[in-house]
Formats: sequence, structure tokens, C-alpha cells
Amino acid sequence: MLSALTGMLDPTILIAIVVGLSLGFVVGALPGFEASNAAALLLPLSLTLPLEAAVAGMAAVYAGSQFGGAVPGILFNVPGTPGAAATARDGYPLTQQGRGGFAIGVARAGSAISGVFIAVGVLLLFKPLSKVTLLVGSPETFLLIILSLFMITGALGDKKIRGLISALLGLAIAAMSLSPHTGEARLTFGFKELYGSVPFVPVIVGLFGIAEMLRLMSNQRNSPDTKMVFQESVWSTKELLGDSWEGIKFALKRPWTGIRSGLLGLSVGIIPGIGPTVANFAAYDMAKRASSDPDSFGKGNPKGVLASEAADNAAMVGTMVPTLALGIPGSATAGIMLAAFYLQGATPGPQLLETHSGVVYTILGSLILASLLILPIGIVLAVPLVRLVLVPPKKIVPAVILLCMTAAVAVRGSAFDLGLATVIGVIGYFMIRADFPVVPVVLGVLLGPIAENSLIRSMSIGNNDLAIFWQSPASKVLCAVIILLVVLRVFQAVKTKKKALAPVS
Amino acid sequence: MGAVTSQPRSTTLKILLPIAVLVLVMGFSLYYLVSVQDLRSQARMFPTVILTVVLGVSLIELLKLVRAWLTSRKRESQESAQAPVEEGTKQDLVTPGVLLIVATLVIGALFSRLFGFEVTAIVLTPALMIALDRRNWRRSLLLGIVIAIAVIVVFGRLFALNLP
Repeated sequence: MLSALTGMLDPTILIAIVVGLSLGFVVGALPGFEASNAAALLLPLSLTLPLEAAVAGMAAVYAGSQFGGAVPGILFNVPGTPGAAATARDGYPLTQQGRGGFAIGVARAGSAISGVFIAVGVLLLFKPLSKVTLLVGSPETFLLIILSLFMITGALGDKKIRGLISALLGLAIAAMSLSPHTGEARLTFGFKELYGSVPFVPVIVGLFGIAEMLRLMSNQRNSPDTKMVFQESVWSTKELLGDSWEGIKFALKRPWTGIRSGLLGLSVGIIPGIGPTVANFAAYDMAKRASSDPDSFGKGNPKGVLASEAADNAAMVGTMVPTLALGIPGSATAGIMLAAFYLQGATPGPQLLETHSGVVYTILGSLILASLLILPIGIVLAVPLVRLVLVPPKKIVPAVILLCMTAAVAVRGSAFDLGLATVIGVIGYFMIRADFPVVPVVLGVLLGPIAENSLIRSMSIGNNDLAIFWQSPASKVLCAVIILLVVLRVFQAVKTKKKALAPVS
Repeated sequence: MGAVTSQPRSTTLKILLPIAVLVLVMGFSLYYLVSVQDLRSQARMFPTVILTVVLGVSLIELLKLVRAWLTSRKRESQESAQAPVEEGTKQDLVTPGVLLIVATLVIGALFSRLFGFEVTAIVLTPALMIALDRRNWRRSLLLGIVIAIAVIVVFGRLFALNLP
């Protein structure tokens, strides 16, 4: 572990972290863009960069985007990411009181404190966790994947069924290749280009790049309020820096609020599919309830900003736990990081801690470093980020489309992949507009090969007897949890239907 | 995924679009299950199970949506006596911007095979920028060429990626 952590000081990895963090700030600040969009476009770079640098860069993008989303939320009440809406509840009133820089400082320090604390904690827990993963065999891996897809779709509220269809579609797309066991072509429609491995990159670029740009162009709006507010209040970097330092001191004097919110964020982030957005709001509500003056929340209480930002950075770290320990992506961006492992020939899964422990510890170490760097880089980039929010989407979209095209063709040097990404992107666009979530599709594509291999191996071990999935204690627990979740879902659906049909009194 | 759109949709779009997506998904699943022989072979077992479940779940969701659509049609025809039903949001689905991007990507895929990716990128990027912002076409042209060259240099040369 120590050698992996010192490996983090490699110049390539350090540059990847700084560039990734800055890119994350930009992506987070732009409404309509998320870390997953940037990570998808950076995915081909993992072919030529060392794996540690590529994944550390993506992790830094993820960390930076959480903070980046808070800046326009605090200054204009236009959150760059959904979770930043919780930060804006008290961040924007603080700006209206002339304390925007102070709020940004609180947000930065909150992210940094919880990010460092939680990442160090997770790093120390990984070694004992690696012993647990040794208990996970093929049947347990298959059941874990089924459970995680179930949980991910369960977190989608009233879009559960559509999410399940999306996830299953992803698993089907993953089968669009030659069978790894018999070499037979499946769902290739006669295209030789699909005979190789699953085309992750065109699918990811199509869904997270092209589909998102199509969505942006179908809904072009430039908020007049944002322009007006920016013209009325011109900040200089010097002004923001001065006020930010007060905010940082405020957060440092209240470490318990940050750590408590961070622990809540970690526990939310560990569950696949829940994500930082829920963590932001949950931590905000917890801080409000724990406060001696709950009525001040929503009117410029800096503790609201501190709690929300501390939780979302910790949740981001939390998503790394199932991703790196079990190979089950905790979020879309984490899933794209797993795709980077595939591109480098490493198979993510429970054995990753055994086969690539150095990479895993370097990634966790880079999260600690990224959390520390949020403070200086975040303050300096605050004003340029604000100007970026005002750039109309039609000026940014062509550049992103070019990056999508480049990313799609770069892996195999094939124009077919660009065509595939376009088709997937158009389908993904219609899915988004039809309220079908696309994140489960990507997770299905990434987990499909592992699921199929685990299933076939399990059936071989068990002589085609399904009882193999009920043999070990771990698989019994997993089966029980899956059955319980199914029963709960059916029960909830029946209850909701009865409520809808009940006469209104 | 990204910021939530706040534009209201007509009932037609809200229900018919998901129905169209479900029909597409079911068509894909049926095509596989009907056209492929020996679905129980080891190679085909996994996609067979997945697509069968997709077919079943999609059918349930389709029936729910069809019922909702018929209910909304009935309600709309009862209310149409009072006020005409608006279809204004239908054009949000396929805007000029959306068509331009799809056209760029399709042309990009075809041209890349004929002329190589670098030439295609240098031609198409400023073309797309000009098409989206015709008022400042000179600036769009210059910016498009600069961005295309920068991306090719960074991805193709600096990171030595395999651009066709």
C-alpha cells in the first residue's frame, strides 16, 4: 500500500489529477454537463496513459465536478449539478447578503475536509475488505451483479420498470459479440466489427456524449436571470479570495459538521445507484434538524452549505468502494472508470484488489490529493467558471461533438465505431426524452461480460444445477436479499396502486 | 442525467414516445428470439434469457402506457368542447440543432472512411459551428478550425491515439 501511495507522486499522475480537477470544475459548473460526460470523452486516453494516471484523472474529474456544480449554484442560484441545489439553498442567500466568496470558501473547505477524512478511512479499510472479497466466487459474483442492477433501478423512483428495461438492454448490448466460450456470433447483424470485444467506448460516448448534446440542443435556453445577476455583481478574483478565506476558517472551526455529513455521504455513496445528489439533500436535512436554529436554514446559514458539500464529496468517494472492491460500479462515472480497466486488459471484479492492488490504492490516494487541491484550485478558478456558465450551449456543443467523434474512433481507429456511437446516441436521446434512464444501460454493458462469464462458470461448477446459487453462506445471503427486495417492490407497487384507486375524501 | 428539462410536454409526446421506444425494444427482442436457432445453446443462453425478460417487462409497461393513453384521449375529447388541445411541444423533439448534429455525425462517419478522420474533423467542425451560429460565421469558422486542429494535435499526436 505504501509503495502505491508514493507512486501517486509520479508527475504523470499529478498532472492527470490537476488537469482532471480543473476539467471537473468546468464540467460541473456548466448546467447540462456532468462528470460522466467528461469521463466518457477522456476514456480513450486510458489506452495510451498508464492506467493509474488515466483513472486518477477520471477520479479527479468526478471530485472537481461536485465542487464545480456548487459555484453557479451559490452565485446565481443555477446549480451546475442536481446535488448542488441543496448547496444553493443557503449559498445563494449568502451571495444576496454580499457573502458569495465566503460561501464558496465554506463549500471548498467542506469538500476538502470530508473528502480527505473519508478517503483516508476508506484507504485503511481496504486491506481488511480485500479478505472479504476472497469469499466471492462465480455464483456470488453473478448474484452481486443482479443485486446491484436491482438496487440501481430501485433508486430511480417511479422509473423503476423503465430502469430495469434499460439495464437489461445494456446486458443484451454486452452480448453483441462472439461468445467468449464457443466463438459463435450473437446479435452482430453480420457486422464483422462486432466480432471482437463489446464496444464499450462507442456505447458510452453515444449515451453520455452524443445523446446529452442532442438533449441540450433540443432545449436551448439562456437564463436571462443569470446574465442579469452577473452584470449586476462583478467579482474580482481578489475579492473572492479574501472572502473565501473567512469561509475556510468557518469550516475548519466546525470539523464535526463536515465529518458527520461526510459519514452520511459515504454510507449513501456506497450503495450502488444512489449517488451524491441524495447525499447532498440528506446531509442538509440532517444539519438542519441538528441545528439549534433550524429556521435560519434556507436564509443563508453557512452550515447548510458546509453539510451539503461535505456529503457530496464523501458520496463520490463512497461510490469507489463497490467499484474497486467488487467491480460493481457505484455510479455512471465509476462505471466509466471500470471501462478504462477493460481497455487496458484488466478485468474488474472482486479479484481486482488481488491483481491490481497498486492501482486501487493509487486511485484512493489520488482522491485524497484531489480533495486537498480543491481548496487552492477551486478558489482561483471560481470567477472564470462563473463566466463559463454564460456561454450559450450552441457554442460549446460543436466542440463536444468533435470530442465525441474523436473518442468514438480512437480506440480501434474505425469509422464503424463512430456510426455505432451515432446510432446509440440517437436511440439514447429518444430514451432520455421518453423518460428512460440511460445510466443503467451503460452499467449493464459494463457488467454484462462479467455476469455472463460468472453464470457460465457457475453452471459448469454446478453441473448445470441452479442449486449452485444457494450453496455457500454468501450466496444464500445474496439470494435472500434479492428475494426480499423483489417482495418489497411488489408490496410497494400494490400499496401505491391501492392508494391511487382509493376515493379522495 | 444532467439538468432536468423544465419545458412541459403534451400528453401525446409524454405517452407516445415511450410507447415507440418500447415497441423498438420489443421488436429487437422478438427479432432475436424468432430468428435465431438453438436458443438454449451455451452461447445463446445468456442473451436469450435477458431478451425474454426484456420482452415480458416491456409488454407490461407497454400495456400500462396504452391504457394511460386511451384514458387521456378520452379525457381530452371530453375537454375539447371547452378548449383546443395544444400540441406545441412536439417540435422540441426534433429541432434544427438536433438534426444538424445527427447529420454531422452521419457525414462524419461516411467521410472518415473516404478521406480520413483528420480532414473530416477540420471540415465538419467549423461547418457545424457556422450552421449553429450564422450571424458570427467568420468567428465560428476560425474557432472551428482552431478547435479541430487542437483536438487532432492533442489526441492524435500528443496522446498518439489511433485516428483513422
